[in-house]
Amino acid sequence: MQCPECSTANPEVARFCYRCGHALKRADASKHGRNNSYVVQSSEGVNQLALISTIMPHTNRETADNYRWAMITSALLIVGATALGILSIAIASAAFLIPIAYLVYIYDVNLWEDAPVPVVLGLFAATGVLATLVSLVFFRWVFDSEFSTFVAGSGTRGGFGTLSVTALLIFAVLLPIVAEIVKNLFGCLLARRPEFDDMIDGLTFGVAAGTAYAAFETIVVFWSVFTSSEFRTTAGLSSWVVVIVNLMVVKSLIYGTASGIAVGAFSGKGEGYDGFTPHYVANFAFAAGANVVYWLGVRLFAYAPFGQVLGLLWGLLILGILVIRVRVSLQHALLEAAVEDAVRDHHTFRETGTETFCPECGNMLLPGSLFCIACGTSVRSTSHQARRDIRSTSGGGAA
Amino acid sequence: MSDQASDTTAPMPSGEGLFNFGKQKTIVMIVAGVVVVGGIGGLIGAMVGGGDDDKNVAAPGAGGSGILNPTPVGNTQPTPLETTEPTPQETTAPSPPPPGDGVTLGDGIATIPVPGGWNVLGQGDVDVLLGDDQGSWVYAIVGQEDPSTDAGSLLSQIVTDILPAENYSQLQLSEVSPIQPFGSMVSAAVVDYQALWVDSQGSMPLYGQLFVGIRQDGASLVMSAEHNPPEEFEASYSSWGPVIDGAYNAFASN
Repeated sequence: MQCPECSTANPEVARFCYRCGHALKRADASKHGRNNSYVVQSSEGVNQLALISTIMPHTNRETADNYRWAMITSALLIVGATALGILSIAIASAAFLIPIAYLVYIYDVNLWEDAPVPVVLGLFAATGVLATLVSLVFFRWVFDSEFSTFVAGSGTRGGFGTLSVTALLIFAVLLPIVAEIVKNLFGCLLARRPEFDDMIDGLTFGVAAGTAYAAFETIVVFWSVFTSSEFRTTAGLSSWVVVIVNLMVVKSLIYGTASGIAVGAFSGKGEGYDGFTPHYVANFAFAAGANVVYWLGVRLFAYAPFGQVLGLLWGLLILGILVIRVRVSLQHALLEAAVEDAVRDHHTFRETGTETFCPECGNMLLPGSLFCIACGTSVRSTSHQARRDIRSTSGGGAA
Repeated sequence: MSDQASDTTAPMPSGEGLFNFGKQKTIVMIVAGVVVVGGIGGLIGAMVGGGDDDKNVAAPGAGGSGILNPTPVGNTQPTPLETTEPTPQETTAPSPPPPGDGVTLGDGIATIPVPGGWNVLGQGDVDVLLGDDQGSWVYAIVGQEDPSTDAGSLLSQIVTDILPAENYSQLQLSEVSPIQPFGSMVSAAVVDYQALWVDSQGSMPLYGQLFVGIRQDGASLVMSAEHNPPEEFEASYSSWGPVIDGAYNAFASN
């Protein structure tokens, strides 16, 4: 059977082209077709709000479950600490939940196996140092009096009438833009390297830098919790639960996914990085815009009844949009790059050799595969551990 | 190609070997990491913050701020809080703020002075919020009560409205202390508080005092003065004190 998209010859039983991932069966194309089946994890739809497979694209269905349970367990412990009023424990662990899970993930899938420590910890540390500096400048050293206007008019006092436009522009517009530049900085530097030039690498760098920034910023802006005279508090805990959930899930993942989109666009589809193209600028603007819209909403909702809960819901909405955007971007990038490679008959070290199996569905992969012909999962999105097995088994993919 | 097709139905190896960690190890590593980081946070909190009794909220007026001083701002002989029978001269003497330098609330119930360096951050018919860009801000709201209402009781009732739990976390209140009323005021009270203000973008420790004065015609004036950082609250009196004193002096003179 010849693929109508790239003209590659495929086995008659193939549901998806092993070179470009195009759906070969009418049923797949219409009902569970390529346009709906997520190439990173074929059991999910592209527009599905699945968090783990979005920010951890090298997991498969089974390992994604591991991370899901680990994060749920950790989140319950953190909420428990909050309910007990031990806020210093809750803040610290909430800030670093996603970064810790991401570090484990990166080691688990053996990402950047040649240099995991300098790459991962270097990215976290460098972004963290800059995040701390930026946060100190905005919240402590330069614009502290502007931030205090939010305090003065909070709750029932003053309402929207007390909102300082200057403070709003500083903390909901300028700060998110500066932060996005910082989050992109080291991710883009790493994405320039030939060994990290895949779009999934760029996405991973962006998510890692974004969550690291969120963690260190959280520690700075909530430092007063650590210096508080009350080690354990009983007042205002319901409000703290909302804040902790926001920090732990929403803020961290909004920062991470937004930066992932931008740095992924810097990497571009296929091998080699695209750099500072108009496509990158547009995606950077989208990422910064998402952060701006998120903080604008949080700041404005703060003057409404149940403002913190509304801010949390607003953040979840923004996060949902970002998750879908990541998945759509990754879907298009993986498919378009594969089509281009197939049409040009270009072979990559990421494709399979012989006697290898799909990590998602377990079917044997054809030599030179970029997709599983049975489930359509992209080989590019499999763990690097799997790729190492693939290379060692076959003596390396096609040159 | 047909041979390859038949290969696709071959038995698969387990996915376990494709990742460095198994299910248990993944969950244990992440949960342990979170627990360790949380423990470090708790340790820092215990060492740097918690248990320092000196930081607890003080009794009202402990700083000798002279709030509700029945004499005009700048008087060289302020009447102390303990004054039991202020003289008529002391209670009626305050000069109202110059036109244009004050905010009138509730059809003239009270006028809140706005000294130099202070800005009106927000204003309604019955309330106003002022800030000085130096970490101090004052909120004032007027109302109408039964003239026999005890200011201390009213203060206890409204404290959660003025200091909502949603933002004022770790709120510590001193005992509500009555203040000797003066002029046309029949009841007055004050409470000190310390809190950790919080919302999703940050937190800020602050210290403040909340005042209530009730006039013989039933008009009430509630004012709060807050400052960040808390340890500079008393030192900041020179900034916010004239606002509070001026407002209550004018309020009591009606």
